Amino acid sequence: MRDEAATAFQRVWDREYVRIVRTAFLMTGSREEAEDLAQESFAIAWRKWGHVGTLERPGAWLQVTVGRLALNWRRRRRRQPQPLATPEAGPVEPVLVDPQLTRALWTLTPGQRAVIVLRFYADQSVDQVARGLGKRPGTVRALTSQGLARLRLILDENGVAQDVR
Amino acid sequence: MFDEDLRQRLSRYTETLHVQIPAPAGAIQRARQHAIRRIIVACVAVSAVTGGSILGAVRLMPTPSAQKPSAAGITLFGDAPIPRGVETTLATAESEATFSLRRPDDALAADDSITHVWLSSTEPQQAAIEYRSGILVLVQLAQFTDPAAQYAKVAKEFGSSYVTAIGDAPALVIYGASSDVAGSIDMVIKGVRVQIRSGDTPLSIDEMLRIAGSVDQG
Repeated sequence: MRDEAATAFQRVWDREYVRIVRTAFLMTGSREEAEDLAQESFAIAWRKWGHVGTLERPGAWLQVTVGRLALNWRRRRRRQPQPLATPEAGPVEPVLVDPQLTRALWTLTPGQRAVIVLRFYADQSVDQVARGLGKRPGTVRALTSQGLARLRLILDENGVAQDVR
Repeated sequence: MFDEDLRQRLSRYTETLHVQIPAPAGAIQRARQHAIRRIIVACVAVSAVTGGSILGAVRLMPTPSAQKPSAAGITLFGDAPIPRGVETTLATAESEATFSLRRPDDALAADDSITHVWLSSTEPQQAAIEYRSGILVLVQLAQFTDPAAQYAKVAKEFGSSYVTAIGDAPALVIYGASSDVAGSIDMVIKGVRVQIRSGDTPLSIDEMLRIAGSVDQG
């Protein structure tokens, strides 16, 4: 029985891991933290596999879970003294490919960013996001609207919104 | 329309982040550690009641973060509120910024209550100033050709905001959690864009307008 669960878990892992890391990356801006949060999400999924394994879309459950973890991660970081951030050189990463989008995402509050990423990257409904983040649907709608307004300001400023059409 | 553009853009953006899939053993190991810690915490609770102590055992348990993957780390945001922001002093930021560092002078946001100043190391250059009250001010060269029109477009399309003028500066007030609370004010003063964010403490729209009104427009 446990072997069956492990096999099913491995399938979900193989199918969803990259997308979960990318979801977390959009929220944290850090590859290392994104991979850490993704692993944490899967650890929770394994602990609750009796439930998660029965879901039609375990990937959707993982995405809202990593969204919640990312929000908590930011709150923890704000409470802890942190070393100064220093620019890092590295291989070709999204910031170099699309600096306007990076900048636009960073103008959002963590709550707005989590909601925008879950709604528009993870394709979650308002109700799914609300349940996953422990917020009311009305709050999710308000955060979505505020976040989109801010993104529009930044992306339009650089003509980016037009470029993608 | 913008929604769909955003979906495509986010998708394309993340596709450039190359992720290697490790074995799931690390996550399963974490799950086991969570379970063991929960048992130990329960034992500690029981121990506290019965007078015994196994706190030493708890301290020996590794935390999940000790199992961090060893991927080469790249941090875009870090702790700075702007991408690739480097913490600096106000004087340095003023001398190195390519724009006038317009900022408020208010009881909730004045130079003597600044806690952090950052200057981005990438283009377009941006500065961020954080105050003891939690208020955050972002400053950069404006790239809008017509800020008033741009703000009107955003307010019409998304709601949750309204266009106004603060002194001679066109401004957009974006609501916070409700329409009597301001989450942020975005304004353009003589080619410099100033965004004022309320931080964790909700501020009324009047308070935010007062802070925005204290920014020097000379």
